[in-house]
Amino acid sequence: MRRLVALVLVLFFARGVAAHVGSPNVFFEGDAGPYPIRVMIRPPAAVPGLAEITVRVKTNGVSKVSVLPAKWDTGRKGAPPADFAKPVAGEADLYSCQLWLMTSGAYSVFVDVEGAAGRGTAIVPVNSLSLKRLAMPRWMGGLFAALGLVLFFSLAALVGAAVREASLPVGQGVDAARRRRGRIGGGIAVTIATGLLWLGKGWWDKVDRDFRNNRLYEAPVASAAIEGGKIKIASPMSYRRFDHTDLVPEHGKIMHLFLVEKGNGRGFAHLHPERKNGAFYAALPKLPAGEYHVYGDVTHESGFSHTWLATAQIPEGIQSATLDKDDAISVAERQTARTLTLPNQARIEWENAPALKANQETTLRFSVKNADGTRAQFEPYLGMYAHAVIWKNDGNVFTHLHPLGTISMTSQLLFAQREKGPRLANDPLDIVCGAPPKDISFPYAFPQAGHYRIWVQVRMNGQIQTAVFDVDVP
Amino acid sequence: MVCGWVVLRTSFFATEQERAVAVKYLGFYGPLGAWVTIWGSLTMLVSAPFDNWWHDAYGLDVEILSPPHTLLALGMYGVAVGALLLVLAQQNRAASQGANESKTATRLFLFALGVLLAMASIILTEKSYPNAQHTRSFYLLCGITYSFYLALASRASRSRWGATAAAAWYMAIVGGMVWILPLFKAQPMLAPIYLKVDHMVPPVFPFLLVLPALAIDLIHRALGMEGGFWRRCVVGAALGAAFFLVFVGVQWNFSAFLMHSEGAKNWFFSAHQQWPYFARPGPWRGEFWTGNGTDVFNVKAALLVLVCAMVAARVGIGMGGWMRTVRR
Repeated sequence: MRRLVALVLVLFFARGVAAHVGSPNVFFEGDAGPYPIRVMIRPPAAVPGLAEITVRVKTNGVSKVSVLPAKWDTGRKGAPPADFAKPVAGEADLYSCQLWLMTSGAYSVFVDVEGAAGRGTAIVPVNSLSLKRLAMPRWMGGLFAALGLVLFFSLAALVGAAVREASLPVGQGVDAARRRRGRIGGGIAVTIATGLLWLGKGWWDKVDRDFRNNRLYEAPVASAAIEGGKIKIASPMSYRRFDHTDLVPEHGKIMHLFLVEKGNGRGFAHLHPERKNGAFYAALPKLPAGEYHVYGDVTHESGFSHTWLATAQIPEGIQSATLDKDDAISVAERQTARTLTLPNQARIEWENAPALKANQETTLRFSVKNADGTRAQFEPYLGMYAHAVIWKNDGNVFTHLHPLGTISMTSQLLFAQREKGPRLANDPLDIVCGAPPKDISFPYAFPQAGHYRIWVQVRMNGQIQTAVFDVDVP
Repeated sequence: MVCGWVVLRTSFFATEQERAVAVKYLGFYGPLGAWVTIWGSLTMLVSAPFDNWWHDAYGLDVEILSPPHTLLALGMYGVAVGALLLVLAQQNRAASQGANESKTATRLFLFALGVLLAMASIILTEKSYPNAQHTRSFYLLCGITYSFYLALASRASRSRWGATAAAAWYMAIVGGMVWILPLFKAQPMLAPIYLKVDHMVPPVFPFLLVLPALAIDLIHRALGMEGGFWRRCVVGAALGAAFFLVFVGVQWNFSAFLMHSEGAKNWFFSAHQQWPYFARPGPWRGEFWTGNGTDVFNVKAALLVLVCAMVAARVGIGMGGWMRTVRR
């Protein structure tokens, strides 16, 4: 049996990442009971820290919006009273609030909306993680050093003054011997304070090391290899300090694996490996040979969802294997068109590309029409009516999006089940994707300026259709 | 601000007699205690932006001991020590003149020492749960800290029961928190909440410091306070040994009482309501901790604690002796 083994380079991303790479903000677009809402959560850089939450309610008659953080292992029973989100001045339908995320792991924010139509709740899962170590700005370091020197030398002078004069009988002047003793006292104070500073620096260094080694989350780096026409992903162990629970299927798949050709993203595959003996295997489709970024999206029993990273060298001569029915590939050169023809001759148009700006919340809107000009009918594909993968060409941003946002549906379901039990019929918690949409939209904010490639995937007449757009985000 | 005003007044508007009891520092005049308080206040102010940056960089430090919190504690100590020096100078000047106000100043001084002892106990909170009171680190920290303070109190105060009175103030302050705080309703405001709490959580019942303090006062009186360097070393060793024996004997058994006796689960001892909302349930709450066998109070640890307590008491005597001379 022919066996191809490719050495896999491991790619290490130093920058902060979460369930999506380089794109930690969480977006949710859905319903809280009778109220259509959009939620954006900006997690803190370090935990414990404050998350910024904004809730846009797209209807009138709302009287109250409250938000509540719940850790996965305690749920709402282990949560404090909800915080009321305050209306944002000048925005009729926007509410904002800050919430403390106190420990690392899977949290969920319960968004309660009350108004004329009653009360509704939406669950928005969020990973609580320390994502980056903040460097001290130079000016701040200089200021602290200056203040520290003032305290240091004023303490030495104070000790010197105390030794020199504090014991003097009332009215008696300072003689030479006392001045000398004062100087000696000041010198001893300098020595002791220097020792304490040295100990303090060692303590600070130890805290910093502990933060970087144990508390700072970096995307787990897996190893990937090509064996017998399959790609094999070995599970990394580094994530276990953040979540030790087992993996659960997301949209029926234990892992959603994405291969993106380095540099231009020309070759792309969305695969679904099977787990055997702790490793993950997926049949490899025919892709252009070259070096690929490998992104593996997984979700845990806790609701924690994140992305594993690796790189793989796809060799020449890979024969197209029998793929999973939900696998899809795309090979597309860079192009600037905003209206594309899909393999089934339907046409997809990206409606709002020119309005994009880095770090600005937006909605990516696409419309799809059949070849005869009629509006396309979508079928569920992996539990959703559309998927989008957004990738920055340096590999530092990777996001798997759905019309309901960046959240993991399985995570949302797990939180809902823990709160309400396994049955969700007649439940006010909205966790299903709803009726087929007329058009496709994804809530998002590009986290950095740069060149991005966007793959939009839908299922029509049983076939997965993939459209590829390129865009420069200023 | 008050101390700043005192310094400005002493520097520019004081009489010769008032300036005669001041310390000259950086060209200004003021009582030593005022200067120390000002230094402490500045240190506390500097710790605030440092702590803020620390939260941004490493997350909120929900712990008592961290570098910025230690800087803050240093400043708080500066403020408290400054107040202590103000009344100390008053005590010593009054005593040298035989004035009656010496007693009031001495009482205030001992109260200030009780506050310092309470501050020390707050800093040591994370190591002071009854569960930790069979560990090497607990007795080492307490042996150094409280042996120093009690020897200092015994030496520096004009009272015959200086250490005992300071320890009693400490127990009254911490005991007051134990008895009063749980009376107020409260609820946790941060998730995750592993323990339902519906009242303010009190600190652990104070150490029974009056007993080793009493031993220190008695031995100090028996051995006398005067003498040369080596004589004071002998006294310090005796005080440290007395502290070690009484403190270990008392806390070893008292911690077991707090942990296991039904008699401790009441308003007075509050042993049943000391855990915060974020304490996960488990058998660890009813066990003596040993740090997985690395933090055991054995014979070797006991000898180390004994030596450290002796040295700390000797330093306390030396510091206390200097404090008896402070007049400005």
